[in-house]
Amino acid sequence: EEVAELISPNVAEASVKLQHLNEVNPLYRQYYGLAEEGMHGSADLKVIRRSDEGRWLRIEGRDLGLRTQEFGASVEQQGDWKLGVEYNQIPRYAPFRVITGVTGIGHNTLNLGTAVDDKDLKTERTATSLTATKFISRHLQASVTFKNEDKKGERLFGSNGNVGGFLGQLFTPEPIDSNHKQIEASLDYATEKFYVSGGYYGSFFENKAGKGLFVNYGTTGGTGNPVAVQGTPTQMSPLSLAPDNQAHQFHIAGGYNWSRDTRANLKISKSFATQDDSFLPNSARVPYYAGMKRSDLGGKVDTTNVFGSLTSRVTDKLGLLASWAYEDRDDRTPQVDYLVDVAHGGVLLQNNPESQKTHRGKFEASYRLPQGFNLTAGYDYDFKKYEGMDELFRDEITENTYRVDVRKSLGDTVNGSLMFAHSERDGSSWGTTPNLVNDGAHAVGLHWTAPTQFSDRERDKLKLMVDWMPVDPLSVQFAYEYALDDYKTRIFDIGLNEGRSELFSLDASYRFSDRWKANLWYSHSTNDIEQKSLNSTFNSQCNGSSIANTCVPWGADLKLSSNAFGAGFDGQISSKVSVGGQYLYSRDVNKYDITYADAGTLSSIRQGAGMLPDTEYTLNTLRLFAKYALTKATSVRLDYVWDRREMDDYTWSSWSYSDGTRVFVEPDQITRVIGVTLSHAF
Amino acid sequence: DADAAKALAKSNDCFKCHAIDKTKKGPSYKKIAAKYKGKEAEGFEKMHKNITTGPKVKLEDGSEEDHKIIDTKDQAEIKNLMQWILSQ
Amino acid sequence: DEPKEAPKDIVLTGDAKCTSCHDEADAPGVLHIGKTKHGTRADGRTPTCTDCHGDSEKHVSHKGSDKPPKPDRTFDKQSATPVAERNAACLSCHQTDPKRHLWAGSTHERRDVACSSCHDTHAADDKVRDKRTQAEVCFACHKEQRAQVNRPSHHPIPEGKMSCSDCHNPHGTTGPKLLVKDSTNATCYTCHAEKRGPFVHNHAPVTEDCGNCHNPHGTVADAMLKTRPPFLCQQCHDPANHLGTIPGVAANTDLSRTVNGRATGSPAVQNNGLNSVGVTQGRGCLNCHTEIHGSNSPANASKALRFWR
Ligand code: HEC
Ligand code: HEC
Ligand code: HEC
Ligand code: HEC
Ligand code: HEC
Ligand code: HEC
Ligand code: HEC
Ligand code: HEC
Ligand code: HEC
Ligand code: HEC
Ligand code: HEC
Repeated sequence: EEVAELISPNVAEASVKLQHLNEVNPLYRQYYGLAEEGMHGSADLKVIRRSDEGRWLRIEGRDLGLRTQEFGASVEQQGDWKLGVEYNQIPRYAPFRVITGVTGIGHNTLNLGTAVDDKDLKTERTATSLTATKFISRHLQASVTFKNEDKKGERLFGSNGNVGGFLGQLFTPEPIDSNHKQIEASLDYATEKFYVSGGYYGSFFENKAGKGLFVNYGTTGGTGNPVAVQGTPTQMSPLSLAPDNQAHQFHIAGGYNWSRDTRANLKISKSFATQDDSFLPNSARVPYYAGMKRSDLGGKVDTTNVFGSLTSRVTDKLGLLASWAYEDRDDRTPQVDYLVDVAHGGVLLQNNPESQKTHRGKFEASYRLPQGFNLTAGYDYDFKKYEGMDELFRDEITENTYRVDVRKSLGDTVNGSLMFAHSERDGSSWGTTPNLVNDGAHAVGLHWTAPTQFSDRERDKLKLMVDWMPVDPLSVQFAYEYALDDYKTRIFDIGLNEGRSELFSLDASYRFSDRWKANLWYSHSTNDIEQKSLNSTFNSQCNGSSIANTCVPWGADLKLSSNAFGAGFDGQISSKVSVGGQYLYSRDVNKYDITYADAGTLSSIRQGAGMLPDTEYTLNTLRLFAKYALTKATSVRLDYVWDRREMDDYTWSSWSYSDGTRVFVEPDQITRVIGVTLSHAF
Repeated sequence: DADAAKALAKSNDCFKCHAIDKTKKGPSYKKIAAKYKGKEAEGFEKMHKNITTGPKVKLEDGSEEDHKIIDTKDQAEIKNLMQWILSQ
Repeated sequence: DEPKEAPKDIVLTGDAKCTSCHDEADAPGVLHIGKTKHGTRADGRTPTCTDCHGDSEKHVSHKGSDKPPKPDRTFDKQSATPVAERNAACLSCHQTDPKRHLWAGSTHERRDVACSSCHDTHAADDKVRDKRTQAEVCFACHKEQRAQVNRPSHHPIPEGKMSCSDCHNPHGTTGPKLLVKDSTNATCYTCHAEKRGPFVHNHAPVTEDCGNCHNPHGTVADAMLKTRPPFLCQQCHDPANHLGTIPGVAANTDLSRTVNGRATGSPAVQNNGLNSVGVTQGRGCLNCHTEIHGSNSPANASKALRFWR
């Protein structure tokens, strides 16, 4: 019966898809996981059943047979209990080509072979989750989720071999083979008036790829390419890989409705994270500091989080909000001596536990004006306190934000909002006055850092959004955003000076009839960053006394300009044939405008430095489909994808590793996919 | 043109009271078509009056109210709608 | 003649009040609510039309040729029902859901975003709850993120393998920016647990906030870095020796000299030494400082401290 079909969720549908890929392009396949040209077959499956008693059964599979496959199944007695299982696979292929002689990729010992070959660097995640929920009573609900995720593969990493005075960049892919288990359980009691909740979250990370990566490329002899003398690790081996770690979190939360209009929430949680996996053995390759007794870090971080909020509609028109969030991240890792810094006067150095406390407060009042207008004024308070970090920094940062927001949101053909925010960031005084240059005897050491996130900053943000529906089938949306960051640097303008961004966006959608509709949008955005630095030489004293001692101030203006455009349509040609299409264009251009004063003959600057070509990325994707209903139950669908990505980026161009490995991105990649899907409903 | 007729009826909320083959507040279109089977001319006239002047009608639940007046002056459109009703 | 009888409920218990008009003949789409959990009549908690739209007596008992007054609550874009009132209809049931306790006071609530801005209640498939279509719903308001996810380095959101709600709970959270966990880092650790540490040699900005360097919505630079090295690193690091090197590329740099003006030997050295090209191309500063998130090397070598190994 017609009505039954309209109201019944039941479906049983299967489809098989065949798609043909003309070529394998690294940028396209990044997450689609189609790494071979030619035919790919896959299947989708969907079964939903609901009984009159409210018992649901769902089985769903997508892309079965491909690297992106997913599967889910659940049974549920709605309002009583639910059991579910889910499987998800996420591939990732590095978006470039690699030609290398390195062997052992994906394992913890790399060698340099003589045969040179194409290698794919890829990782794949496979995650299985189990969920269970149960209403123990009408108000009390228990739920448990368990997720087991594996990640396997290898990724671009690197190392710098310092052998025989030769500094060489070596191609050293990191092996990845890890497991992450997460479990989340909670018990929630909720009534109209109040709720309380208690729960546990556990996260267990295990690295099965080993604790260290050994690079076995041999020595270089000082000039030329490194010689592949097997069995001689570089001085950098091993590179440390992530040890196992785990975290436990417990929370309790509550909420209370004082009245229909006033509500309070509170949540307190406590986390205990540890990292106490045993280190690499003390060996010739990994010489410990002689006084070191530990075989693990004994890493231990306890975090306390408190969140409270109060919202109230004081009158029909006036609404208030106050909220406060507090985090205390207490790094309780024992501090012991780990190394002797021979290069810097033989200082004994320890591990550096870092603790921090943050407060985030928010206060906001909004008032309803006549004619659907609404005015909101808000104040945000951000405070951070650091402990255990180098005394060179400031240890307290405060940011105050003031904002107003006017909205019109009821009834009319034109609605919109205008938001303005101004923030000021400031902090306690900086630590030791920086010594601009080092002592002339050591390459590094007496430096100081003025981290951007600690700098004084003024920030302005403006957002405008207008929704216009001039006539029923047409709707238009306009957005404009502007943001300006102005940094006060610590000294000599070094570091980030200014950041500016702007966004303009226009969207329109039109409904021609019940059967045809179309939409299009365009966004343009720009992003500017101004920063400054000093180009200095080793042993520099920045006093211009000799060629070896010069410091040249320089600045960079980094500009990103992006244009994106999208258009799509959907339509039904007849009751049997429907079609649709989408086009997406996106182009990002980065410009690097570098300026420096000409230091003449004293210049330490190499000819040609400071001239960076623009980097450009262009994406063009066209997707079309047509679907034909052979019968009520059976349909065929044709898909066509045309995808062109152009990349012009200096990162890898005309650059190669010392071991001869070449990594590069093809500048113009076109992928065409044709797919046929046959679906049948049972 | 059945599609145009249905669209017009839909936009005028006719389906709120008339289904094609089910009695709602008003008689089904099938029923109306049956009523005028063989006497189309009379049907056109009566229907036209009904939907353009809005006389009192008796709903299925017994209450009375003014009939809906169609929101178009385009006679061709109205004619098309009536033809569609009669073709049910 | 068919017998006259009281209209029957079609989809929800007690819906006859409405479905006497809004039935399959009038608005088949409306009945799709039956396909959702709201349409599970066996679950006594589910709503009927009037729970959401209000009793709407004036609407129902309207007589006459003109349009009836609107129901008490409507949810379309141009509705005259204040958003808070629309949402109250949903919250009358959903405020007790574990995931929606914090709606009151959340950014979306404060900015008058309606539940129905995201949710399609009269449809079998709710776009916002399907990870392949969710982002589109968010992009109705978040244009900046729409542009960012199409940049070359991004999370697999456009590919449909991840969704905004993996990181954000749009109904309100205790974390900043509606993040699902209490902090940015805690959110990232749910998928990147190997970055949790703590490390022997911690890198301060990493411990503090992943957002110092990454923009998780997508960037032009590799690895979703906000700016590419060396610029990124130079925003924080002082210029002592090589740190302040002016970037340059092999294609237009005089390779016969090092950054110190000394003549150098082979091309491999020229490309890869501690010079403009070496801090700019390849992985930039990361060519050497590989363990940028923190190093666990126990080796007695200063390079461990400097995230070299
Ligand atoms: C060719 C390898 C190489 C490259 C490329 C490189 N560095 Fe270094 N970096 C080193 C070495 C070697 C040290 C000193 C280690 C030591 O003495 O123990 C160092 C030390 C440092 C230090 C610590 C300084 C101190 O006083 O402790 C910082 C910070 C640093 N580098 C930042 C950078 C930045 C920023 C870049 C990019 C502009 C960069 N490095 C590129 C090799 C490199
Ligand atoms: C409020 C409910 C209602 C609405 C809305 C409504 N009708 Fe009717 N209509 C009725 C009832 C009741 C009758 C039966 C009248 C009778 O038999 O006396 C009727 C009768 C008719 C008839 C048959 C007239 C005849 O001569 O027997 C036609 C044709 C008709 N309606 C068309 C329409 C069209 C077209 C619309 C939309 C513009 C519409 N109706 C909207 C309730 C409604
Ligand atoms: C007497 C017939 C009738 C009954 C009974 C009825 N409606 Fe309606 N409804 C209409 C008509 C006619 C319209 C079209 C009004 C318009 O376009 O402005 C409508 C429109 C609506 C709309 C869309 C409003 C908009 O913003 O466009 C909603 C929602 C609605 N009805 C809900 C309900 C609910 C809920 C009930 C039961 C409580 C109900 N209706 C009962 C006739 C009815
Ligand atoms: C869970 C809450 C809820 C229930 C129950 C509900 N509605 Fe709605 N209704 C909505 C919302 C929200 C909208 C706005 C559009 C949307 O989300 O699909 C809406 C829209 C509508 C519209 C306008 C549709 C359009 O295309 O313009 C009608 C008519 C309507 N509802 C009628 C009904 C009827 C009849 C029932 C009972 C069978 C009902 N509603 C039950 C929430 C509800
Ligand atoms: C009278 C109670 C009631 C009202 C009012 C109500 N809901 Fe629900 N809703 C429920 C129940 C019960 C469920 C099923 C919950 C479960 O999964 O056990 C549900 C489920 C849902 C779901 C999941 C649906 C699915 O198919 O999986 C969404 C989304 C939702 N509601 C949104 C809304 C929105 C939006 C509104 C207001 C426009 C609303 N609800 C109003 C009771 C209500
Ligand atoms: C900004 C978008 C947005 C708004 C506004 C929004 N939701 Fe959701 N909602 C989502 C997304 C995304 C999901 C799916 C992810 C999840 O489960 O958290 C969801 C899921 C749900 C579910 C189903 C959860 C489940 O367990 O299956 C319910 C019920 C729900 N929302 C109710 C509401 C209610 C009630 C409101 C208004 C108070 C609301 N939503 C406002 C985006 C939104
Ligand atoms: C109907 C409009 C609308 C939709 C749809 C919408 N949002 Fe929002 N969102 C807003 C507004 C308004 C703000 C506050 C102003 C701003 O930051 O731009 C906001 C803010 C946010 C913020 C920042 C919160 C903060 O505390 O600063 C996040 C995160 C967010 N939205 C995520 C989402 C996600 C995820 C979705 C989709 C599931 C979504 N939004 C859909 C309107 C919307
Ligand atoms: C991988 C995690 C992740 C995913 C996926 C993600 N976000 Fe975010 N989002 C974040 C983090 C972290 C922040 C906070 C960034 C910051 O502090 O500036 C954020 C901030 C935001 C903000 C606030 C930005 C501001 O300037 O205040 C919005 C809006 C937002 N996200 C929307 C989205 C939308 C829409 C999507 C889906 C396309 C999405 N996010 C997907 C992690 C994520
Ligand atoms: C829900 C899971 C999830 C969360 C949460 C998440 N990520 Fe990811 N992230 C992924 C996946 C999947 C990839 C793809 C590669 C892979 O499988 O690791 C990825 C890749 C990345 C990459 C590498 C991209 C590249 O091009 O090399 C970076 C950087 C990254 N994420 C940063 C973050 C940051 C920062 C956050 C927190 C704001 C975050 N991620 C949160 C799932 C997640
Ligand atoms: C100091 C800047 C900085 C901070 C802060 C930072 N990262 Fe990164 N991240 C990088 C750089 C540079 C890369 C690229 C180099 C690489 O791939 O090792 C990167 C790469 C990544 C990758 C991709 C490579 C991989 O290891 O899988 C992930 C994932 C990632 N970061 C996650 C995070 C997370 C999670 C945090 C916060 C705990 C974080 N990052 C904080 C600089 C940073
Ligand atoms: C947001 C600020 C910030 C950014 C961006 C940043 N760093 Fe750091 N970095 C720091 C701080 C703070 C320290 C701690 C310095 C200390 O403890 O003396 C540090 C320490 C280091 C050290 C160890 C120095 C030592 O002697 O302990 C190295 C090496 C380093 N950073 C390299 C990098 C590289 C390479 C990048 C770019 C991928 C980078 N940093 C980006 C803030 C930053």
